[in-house]
Parts: sequence; structure tokens; C-alpha cells
Amino acid sequence: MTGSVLRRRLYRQLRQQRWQTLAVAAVIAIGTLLGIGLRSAHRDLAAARDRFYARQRIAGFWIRLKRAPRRQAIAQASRCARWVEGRIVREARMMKDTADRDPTTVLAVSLPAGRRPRVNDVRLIAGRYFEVGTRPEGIVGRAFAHAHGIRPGSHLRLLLGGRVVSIRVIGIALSPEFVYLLAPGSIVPDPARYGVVFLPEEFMEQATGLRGAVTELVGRLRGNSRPERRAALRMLERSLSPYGVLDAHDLEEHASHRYLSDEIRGLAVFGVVIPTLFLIVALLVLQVILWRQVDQDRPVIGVLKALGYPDLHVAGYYAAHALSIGLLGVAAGLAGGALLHRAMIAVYRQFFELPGLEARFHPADYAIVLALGIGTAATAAARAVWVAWREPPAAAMRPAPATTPGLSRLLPRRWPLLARIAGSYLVRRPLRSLAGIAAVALATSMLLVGLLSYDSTIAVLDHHYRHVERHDWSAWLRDYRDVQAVREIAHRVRAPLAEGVGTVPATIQHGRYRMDGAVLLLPESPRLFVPWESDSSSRGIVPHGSSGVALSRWLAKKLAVRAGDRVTLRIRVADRRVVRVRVLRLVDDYLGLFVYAPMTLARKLVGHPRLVNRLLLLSPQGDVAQRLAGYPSVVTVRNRRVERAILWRMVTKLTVTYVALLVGFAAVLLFSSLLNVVLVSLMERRRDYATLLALGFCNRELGGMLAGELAVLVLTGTAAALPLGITLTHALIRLYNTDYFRMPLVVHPHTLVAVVIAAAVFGTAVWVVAVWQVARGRWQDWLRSRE
Amino acid sequence: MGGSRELADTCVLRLERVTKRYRQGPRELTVLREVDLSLWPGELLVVLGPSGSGKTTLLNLMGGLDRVSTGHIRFGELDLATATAAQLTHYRRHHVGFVFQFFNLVPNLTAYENVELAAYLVEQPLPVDDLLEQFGLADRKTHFPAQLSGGEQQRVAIARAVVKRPALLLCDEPTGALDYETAKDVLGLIQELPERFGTTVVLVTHNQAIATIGHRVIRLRSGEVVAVSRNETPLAASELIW
Repeated sequence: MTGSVLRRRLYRQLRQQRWQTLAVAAVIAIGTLLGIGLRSAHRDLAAARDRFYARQRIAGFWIRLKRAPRRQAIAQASRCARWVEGRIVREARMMKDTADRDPTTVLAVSLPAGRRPRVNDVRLIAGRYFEVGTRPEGIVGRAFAHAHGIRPGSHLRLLLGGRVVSIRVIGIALSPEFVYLLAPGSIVPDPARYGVVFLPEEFMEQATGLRGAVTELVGRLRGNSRPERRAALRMLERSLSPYGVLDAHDLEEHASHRYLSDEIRGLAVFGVVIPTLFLIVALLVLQVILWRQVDQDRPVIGVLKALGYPDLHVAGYYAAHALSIGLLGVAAGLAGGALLHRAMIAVYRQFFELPGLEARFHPADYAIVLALGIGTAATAAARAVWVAWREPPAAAMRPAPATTPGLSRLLPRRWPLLARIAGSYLVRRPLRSLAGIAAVALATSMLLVGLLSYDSTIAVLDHHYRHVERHDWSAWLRDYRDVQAVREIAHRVRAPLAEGVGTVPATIQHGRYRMDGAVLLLPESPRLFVPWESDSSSRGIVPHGSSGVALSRWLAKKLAVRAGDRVTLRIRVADRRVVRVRVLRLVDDYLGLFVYAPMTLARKLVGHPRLVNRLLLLSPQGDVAQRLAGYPSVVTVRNRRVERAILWRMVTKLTVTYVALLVGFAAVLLFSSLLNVVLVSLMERRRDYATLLALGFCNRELGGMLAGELAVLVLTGTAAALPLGITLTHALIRLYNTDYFRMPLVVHPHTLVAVVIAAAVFGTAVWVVAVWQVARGRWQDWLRSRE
Repeated sequence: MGGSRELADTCVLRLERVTKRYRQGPRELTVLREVDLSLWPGELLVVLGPSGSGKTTLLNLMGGLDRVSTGHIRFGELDLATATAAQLTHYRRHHVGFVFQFFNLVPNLTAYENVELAAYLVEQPLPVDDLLEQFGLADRKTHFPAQLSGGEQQRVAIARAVVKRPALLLCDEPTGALDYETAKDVLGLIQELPERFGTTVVLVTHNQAIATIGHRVIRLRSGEVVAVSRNETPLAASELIW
């Protein structure tokens, strides 16, 4: 950039084209904003997790046992692991004095008194740690404490090990293993109904009658790689099987870690993909503006060079033009990104119990995003700069060669004249038109991505809470029970319909593929938990009387299994049988890795004819929960509607906020790109429009012509956007999906129609602006301009 | 001012005390001042003046492209000063033809289509093919403007202007972008128009020599009509020298 005169000219030009300038800057700003917001939130979450895990020494494995002698179990575990801790973990019921009769369960976890645990140490937020002794004291998880107004000094009454114990709260803490605490079978934290309480080891032993015993081992596995560590875990699991292994998993399979890490991974993916798409649109639109600008400025370029300005300065003018818009957008984006970053961290704080989760300034991210924003502007300016650099002054001062008809000749002669004019404008500069269409297509596809993401999230909720889970209440049991015992409970709580479900951890193997999951033992024709197949009306898991299982479609894909294949189930509880079964059906499911088996297979799989650990009840009565809670074998009670409502709240807070942001930004993107393309076209054709007006055409006819052009632009862009948006959503969902939570790609026709309508509405709004521009323009002056 | 004829009721267009002002920031600029003028059927009126004298503004006002600040421009019963936008469009559509210095052809339409573009606007246009043949463009009608010479482009522009059978043809520096010989050809064509099509032609130019081809010449300076003269024997365009 040279001299103050050119700077003044640039300033005036930007002011004259302020709407275009602002529209492009807005697109760059949104790309930058999302880049900063998502990347910074990703870094903060990941850093807070890693810091917390490191400081509190997160465990590498969890093995849940029925009951094992402490010393022997730890000694056995120490062969494959280090830093092993044995502990007692039991669900307890919180006894409340208030009118609130909602059953509240706490996960009581023992901690050694007088010393900190070698793994899974708690971080105290308030109060103190346990001193040596057997005092009835407790440290309560922060979310649960907040939900119930518990502070150090408060007292809790717990129904633990069949008797009520009174606990004095001495501390409030966070635990690395319960960052995202879920009740059994739940997918959303509900601190009002489920929390964690840490109790001194000796007190727990006394209260539960498990003196000298443990129900869980935690520690770090030996091995440098995950396969090595998993092999060690399997070995450990086998060696501890005499004590009744109920579950064994490593950190990657630990529910809290999974949810947290999936969110971090999702942020990493979205933090790259979405801002990139926005910046591509900005590049296309800015490029179109600068192409036009340099074409219009050819005489100025010639004059400047004739006056003696060096090529570098003249070319620099266009670079400065692009960079000014880029910097404006980036500056707004960085400021907005900082706000988005803070807002996101504030939302995450509500869901993840992570200490030190704060919106920190990440200079590297700012530098990267700044470089990307500026790089976008610089790339968009490349051709304009090149032309300004290379054009000899004499050539630049000559009128531009007349535009050749190009593809205009291909337009059908039978078209009305005005339609042919509109059409020829589009085909005359095909690259520019394509750039405009590409911008519209990308912007519209972003809109579609936002809406389809919402549809897909809702589809999971709808699928799970409407098609699969059809009960009112579900009660998780401490141990496996005979289904008859469960029926008795149902009878006593006067539930009109009850079903038992057995969840059996298993490794599923097909050829060289193997995955850890679970077998769900269900009634042959379940009515309260129905593995559901979208394209089938069958309600049985497998055809009646047949001996086989149904497999999650996701799991089947991972194991390369097709209906009719046989798989090997390595049961990881009871007598750890290895059974081969035929897969008779594939079903759609979105949570976990499950094999669905009729209860008739229970004897073959676990050596017991009717084994269940979950009770499902159909009963609209509210007091069922209280009656269920009275059974010591019942660990937690969940109400499907309540859980659905909580999940809805969470979806509203997280997904809807993100989707609304994305849709809002995509709308700005669509409007801005359309407006820019049309304003550039208007500038180019204003002499033609003026001539048509002088000839006697009216604004309505010109408006019709503009509408035709816009319609082609919007319809072509939207037609391209539909498959593009679906493909993008599919790709994003594939990146986001995990073994534990996945979303289907759901494309409702009404969503596609909504996107087309939105594009039409934006197209109409831009058309109104364009017609207004023509109507208010001094078109008499445009008549005397040269082409 | 105006002409010497007193048959006001038969004139094509009558300008009465026409003034045009533009606002330029805080100050107002008067570009035409109290112009009285009548245009008669079949005459070729040359408006002569230096740059900035108000020629084009006068043409724009006559063509209904712009509005007067004060005064009246009457076309039959229609007063362009008070006409609605729709009335002005109707006026341009049915009664006026324009020829511009830089031709203003629609670049992505062929010569034929450019003429057809104007023909489309009226119910009884002249036959496009005949017109192009009369203007020596029969073999160029499928060509796009970029494939035509400047002279040919201006012929197409003139054909486009007359195809509507306008009562008034307004030519704004029609030879300004042409070389000497081509300019004379084009002027010859324009000179024939009143007789061939019965249209009234107003030709705006800064070239004094061209004034000799008109029936009447008005001279503008700083927005005022400073002289009106009549050529009893207008010179043929082919005889022009400048």
C-alpha cells in the first residue's frame, strides 16, 4: 500500500461498499469466532481433564466384584497392575426429612482414612480429608452437594447395607472418575437424584458387613500400549473370576471419561470443519468482489502506473483492500470468539465436574485463527493482485476488450428476451457465477447441517425414549436375581406390567474382530424394552422358538457380521462361558454395544434359566418409586419421563444452543453471500439496467429479470446444497459417533423443505435489496458509462 | 425563445421555463435555467454546447429520464414534471427512442436481439429484419456487439431506437466514440430519420460542424439557451468536414 492518497481512496471505497464490506467481514468474523470458540473450549476442556487426571491420579482400570478378600484380591491384581486399591462401592439410599419423596441414591465409595488413595484421589473443594478411625464421616461430591444444599457440617442419613446410618459431612470434593456421573443405565447426570459420597474405609466395612473385603479394585495396568494393557486387564479379570467379576473396564471404557472425551473429540472435529467451511465461503465471496473491483479499476491501474507508481504499490492496493476486510472480520471474530469461548465453558461447567475449567487465553489458537482469516483474505486477493501487478499501463488504460458472448450462444432462442438476458448474465462469466453458486451452496448446506444435526439428536432421544424404552419405571438391582423374585417385587408394588432384563458383560467375537459389550437378556416378546428396527414391524427379538440373537447394527458393522453369521460370546461374569450363537437379526440402537438375546438363551449363556438385574415397570402411579426404594436389592430407581425431561433440558442447553448458533450463522452466511454476489452483479450490469430503463422497461420487468437470475442462483445453489449438506452431516456424524453414543443420519423431507424455504426467503430478501438499489440509483448517470 | 413557429398545439414536446438544479453537498447547482423550447414533428434539432453546458441534462429531461426542478415539459396531455414513475416509463416505452455515445447495446444479445428488445415493448414495431436491412446490417444480425465495429454498433443502436416508431429520438453525442468517416456515415443515417420515419430528432453534440446538418440549432452555455438559429438548407452529413 502506498501513499496517503491511495489510503484515502481505499477508505472511501470501503465506505461506499460498506454493505458488501460488512457482509464479507461478517462471514470471516463467524468463521473466526467459531474457530476461536470451539478450539479454545476444546483446549480448556482437554487441559482441565488432563490436569485433573494427573493430579488426582486417575485409575487405568476398574474391576467390580461381588465380594473378594481385600489382601488376596490386591495381591493377585498387583501381578498385572500397579498402584492397586481395593475399595467397597455400594449404592445407598438417601433418607430425606423434607416433603421431597423422590428416591435419591448415592454411590457410596470407600476411601482409606489417614492416607490419600494411590489412584482416584479426590480433590477437596471445602472441608477436610478423613483422619484415621471409623467415625461416620463423609465427603460429598460437589454437584450432589449443590443440588441438596449440603455443606461441611451437614448431616446425611443413608440407608446403607440394610440399615440407616447418619453421616456427618466433613468435606465437599471432586473426583476424576466422576466428572460426568451417571446412574446405572442413564445417559445424563441427575445430581438431584444420584450422587457420590465417599466414606472412610473402616466405617464402610462396618456398615456393609464387608469386613476385610472389597467390591471393587482400581489401579493402573502394566503395559505401554492399550492392547498390552487390555490383555493385562483380561488376565486380571480371569484371575479374579472366583470372586465373581461383575464388570471390568479400562479408562477408555469408563463412562465418565468416555462422555468427557467424546465431547472433547467432537469439539476438535467441529473446531476445524465448521470454521473452515465458513472461511471457504468468505474466500469465494471476497474473490468475486475483488475480481469485479480490479476489472472496474483498470483505467485507474493504468493511470497510477503511468504516473510512476511501481507495480508493487498498485498491486498492494488490492492486497490492502482484501486485508482490510479480512482484518475487520478477524477482529470482530476474535472478540466474538472470546465471548463464545466463555459462554461454552460456562455451559460445560454445568455438566462436567472439572476443577480449574476456565476460559483461558490461548495465544497459539488466536495466532492460528488470525493467520487463517488473513490467509483467506490474501488468497481471495491473489488474482486481483496478480492482474494489478502484471497489467501494462497502456493496456490498462485502454477500454477493456468487449465481453464475448461466450456460453450465451447456447441459450435457447425460444426463451423470452428478458429470460435470455438474465441467463446470459449468468453464463457470460461462468467462473464467477460458479463461485456465487458455490458460496450459496456452502452457506445453505451449513444451514442444513445445523438442522440435520438437530434432527439426528432428536431421533436418538425419540428412538430411545419412545421406541425402545416403553416403561414408566426402571429399577437396577444390586445383583443378578431370578426373574420370579423380580415379579414378586412388581406384584408388591402393584405395577400392572413388569419385565426383567439381564445385562451380562461379554466380549463379542467374529473371526479376527472382537469388541467388548454386553448381552441384554430380554423376554422373548418384550413390551417394555423393545430393540427396535426402523424397517420392521416385528416385536420379537428373534423369531419365536429360534435359538439366536439380535445384534446392534453398529456392532455388526464393526465385527463384519451379517444376519445369519455366527458369533462367539465370551461371557465375563458367572462361570465365564464361551458360547457360539447365530445372529438372526440386526437392530438399530444408538447407545452402547449390545447383543439382544431372548431370556430362553440365559441358561446357555450364564447357566441360569432366568437371570435379571433390572426391573422394568409400567405404572403411572408416582409412589411406585417409594415402594421400590424400600427393597434393599434395588440400587437405583429411574423414571423414564423424568430422565427424558432432564435430557431434554440438557439437549436444549447444549445441542439447541449449538444448533441455533450454527443455523443463525449459516443464515448470515447465506444472506451475506447472496447479497454480495447480487450487489457485484448489479454493479457490473448497471449500465445495461439503465439502458433497459431508458428504453422503456419498467422496474417490475427488471425486478422480474433479477428475480429470475436470483432464482437460478438460489435454486442451483440449494440443489447442490442438499446432497452437500447431507454428505457433510453424514461425515460429521461419522467423526462424532462412538461405540457408546452415536447418532443416525436422519433426513426428514420437511427439513429439506425448510431449508429450501429459508433459501427462498433469503433470496427474496436479497431481491428486495437489489430492486431497491436499482430504484434508488442514479441510473441516468450509469447510461453514460462505458461497458 | 423556442422556435419561430406558433403552432404550439401541434408540437411534439414543449418545454416551459424548465430549470434543473442538483444538490451538491451543502450547495445547490443550477445546470439548466428557464429553458423554453418546442419540438416540431419531423425536425432535426441540434443542441450545441461545450462540456458542462447542460446538454445531456436537457436530453434526460426531454426523455423522461430525470425530472425538472421547476417548469413543465408537455407531451400532449402529459406533463413530465408531474407525471408518475409509471407514466414516465410508459412515455419512454412508447414515444421516445435513445441513441447513446457508447451505444449501450446489451452485450450478450445479438444485433437482431438488441433491436428485438425494443420491438418487444410496443404493439406495432417496425419489422426488425427490414430495419436491419435498411441500415446495412442484414448480414450482421446474428453477431454479438463484441463482433461488430463501432459504426455497426451505433447503427444497431439507432435501429433499436427507431423500431418502436417513436415520436421523439434523442441522440446523445452519437458520434463521440466513432472515427471521422464512421461518424459521418452515422450522422447521415440520423439525418435521414425524420424523413424516413417521421420522427423528431434531437441531436446533442459539442461539435460545431455537426450543427449544420440540423433544421434548427440551439446553443447552450452554463445551462442557458444563448442562441437559436435555423438552417434553411441543412448540409448533407456526407459534406461535413471537421
